[in-house]
Amino acid sequence: MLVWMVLVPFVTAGVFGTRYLLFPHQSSRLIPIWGSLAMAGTFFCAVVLSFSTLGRGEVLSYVLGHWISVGEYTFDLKLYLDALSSLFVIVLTGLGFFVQLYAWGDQPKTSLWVKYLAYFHLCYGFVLLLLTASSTHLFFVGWQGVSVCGFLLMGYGYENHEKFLFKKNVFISHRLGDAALVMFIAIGVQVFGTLEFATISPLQTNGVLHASYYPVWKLEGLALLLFIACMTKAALFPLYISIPQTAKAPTAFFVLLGVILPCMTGIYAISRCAQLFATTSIVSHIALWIGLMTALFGALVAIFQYDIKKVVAYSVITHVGCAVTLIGMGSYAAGVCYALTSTCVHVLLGLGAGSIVRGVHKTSDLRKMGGLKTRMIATSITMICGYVSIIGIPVSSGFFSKNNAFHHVLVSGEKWVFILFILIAVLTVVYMTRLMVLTLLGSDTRLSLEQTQKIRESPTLILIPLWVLAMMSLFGGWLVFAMYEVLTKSLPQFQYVHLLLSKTEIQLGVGVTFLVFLIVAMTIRYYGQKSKMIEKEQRNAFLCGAKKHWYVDRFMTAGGSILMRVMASIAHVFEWLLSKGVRDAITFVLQSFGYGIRSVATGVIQSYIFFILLGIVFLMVFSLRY
Amino acid sequence: MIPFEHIMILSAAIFLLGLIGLFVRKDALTLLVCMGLLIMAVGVLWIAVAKSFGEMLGQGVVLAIIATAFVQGCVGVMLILKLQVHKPSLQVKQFTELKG
Repeated sequence: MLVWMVLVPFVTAGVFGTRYLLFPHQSSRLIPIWGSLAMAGTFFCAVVLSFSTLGRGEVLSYVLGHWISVGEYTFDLKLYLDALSSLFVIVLTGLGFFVQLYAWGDQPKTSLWVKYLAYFHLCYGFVLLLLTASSTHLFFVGWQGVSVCGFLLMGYGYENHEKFLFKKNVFISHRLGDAALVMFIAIGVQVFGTLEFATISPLQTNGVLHASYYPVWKLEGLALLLFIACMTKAALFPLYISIPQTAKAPTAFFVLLGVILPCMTGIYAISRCAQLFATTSIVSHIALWIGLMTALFGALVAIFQYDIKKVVAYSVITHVGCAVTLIGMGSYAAGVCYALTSTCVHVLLGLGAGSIVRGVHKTSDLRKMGGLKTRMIATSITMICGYVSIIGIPVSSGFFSKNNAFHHVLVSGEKWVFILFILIAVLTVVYMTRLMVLTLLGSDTRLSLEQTQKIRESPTLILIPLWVLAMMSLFGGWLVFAMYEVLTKSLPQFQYVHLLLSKTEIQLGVGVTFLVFLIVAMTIRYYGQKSKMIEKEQRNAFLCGAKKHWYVDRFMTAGGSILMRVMASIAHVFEWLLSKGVRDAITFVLQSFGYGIRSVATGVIQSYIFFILLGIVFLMVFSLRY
Repeated sequence: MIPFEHIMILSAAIFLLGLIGLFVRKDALTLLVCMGLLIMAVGVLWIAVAKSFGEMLGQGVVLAIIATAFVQGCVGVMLILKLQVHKPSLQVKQFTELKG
């Protein structure tokens, strides 16, 4: 069943791709049904498998065969599912099913869509492969596949130049991560003598630390390489630029690439190697501060974005940053729990944003929206559920994961981190409230009257995933508890905090809730007068900087260009050396050699035959002598 | 059963015949035939060796040799025909300027 679960998306992708190749100009009604069924099938498999992994604590593994055997190393092609990976798999397959349903409801009438659905399923299959890989080399296959599919998926819905720029960014940053991961695998084999995740750890199974057995700098270096690889995938501070740029893609692809993947690849890789991270102190601190910086930065940019999907994208960056901060502090279970919960809520917000964009005639500009609460009732209600969860109103799932996170930070005793965490939470409340006010409240849209009257609610196929996700984010608090239970058991080296409402926690929760309500009220008041606010924001130079993402995007793009130019000039120098120096040297040698040869070349066949005969005789004598 | 030595002598004789032909004769078509003789001499030797060692592989190699000889002949004849366009002669001495 484990194999089937991984195989189904690949088969689906193959079928879609073949169909597109055979009938490139027809779209079919069967395609989305097949896609949804495949997603539902993998979800079903994941749930059944998790009864044994999560319920009974078993570890499932399946050896597909031998892959590589070099000298004394033999590497198996082995799938592996334990509590940690099955948790990720369940979340991924469940969300994937909803995203596929949305894609079904949202599909355009072009046949090109079939091709991109094939890429979509391929990407999904590679993520499943990555999550169930038992060893780093199979993990690397999934990792690369995800990069490639991301690259392919971005082809849809972009104008040419934009597509090129985006792909360039993604390419450069992902190559960096891949290089780091390859080095991680190579050094990992050298240090631990194996590629299996279960044995890449200086900890033994009984929890005894064996770090002194390995040189510290090697462990730190390994962890650093893995962290760099995760930075590109999980969208951490300097390398996050690919995530907001996915906002222009169709919503289903945006949600897959920009919302689900950062958690499923980056955070998963770190938590899989948590045992390695737990023994390092320098890299943990780097992770802590980079995570914090990412979160703060994402929140600061998100406040001033006018693109609804980009707000969601920066919100994802913020939350991934928070999760990495928690991981850097050593509370792995809390970090992963936080990441998974916020991913679910962000999928809801992303799909809801897509539904809104669909409703208001494909503009994603927040300034043109407003008053949608009466025109798109179901979407508004579900968006509000997601909003409630993400700002952490009590009893919603976001509240529990956030409260848990705060508690961990407080217990760890790092004051600055705690203060910054509070600041990030406040900023989150501000930008989410701003999003809600600008889209839902108010009476006016800035579209023309005719367009405003044409605003319609999305079809049922889009609303089903929204409703389910909304209910989960509102009432899924117990799921967070269950998740945390599982994670604390499966991830060692966590700082155990009794989760269920200790005294500090209650005080913290009450305090944070009051803070949240206060800020919500203030934000609504500020953004309520919309037109004034927009004018004010446009005049302010500081805000202009924020609108341009504090110029980081531009800086990174320029950095990429400069890198390419430097490479090109180095290549020019080499080319010159090759063309002038080496070429002339070779011609000189050949020419002088030629003078000797030319006298022998008479043009008479018999003389050639004579030389050949001489050569044969020489060879025979030579081989007989020695 | 013919002894192995006899076949070796036969093969050497054919080879020598071809070699002498190559050095002595002057027209292109005869040279081609002489080259064929060289190749066939080697082929006969292969068969003899294969038979005496009880290996079937050698006979397979001979098939390949025959094919190569055939191709070589074809290419040679084609070249000669093409050369006729420039000079209506078969004497190889006429074509020494092709040395490059």
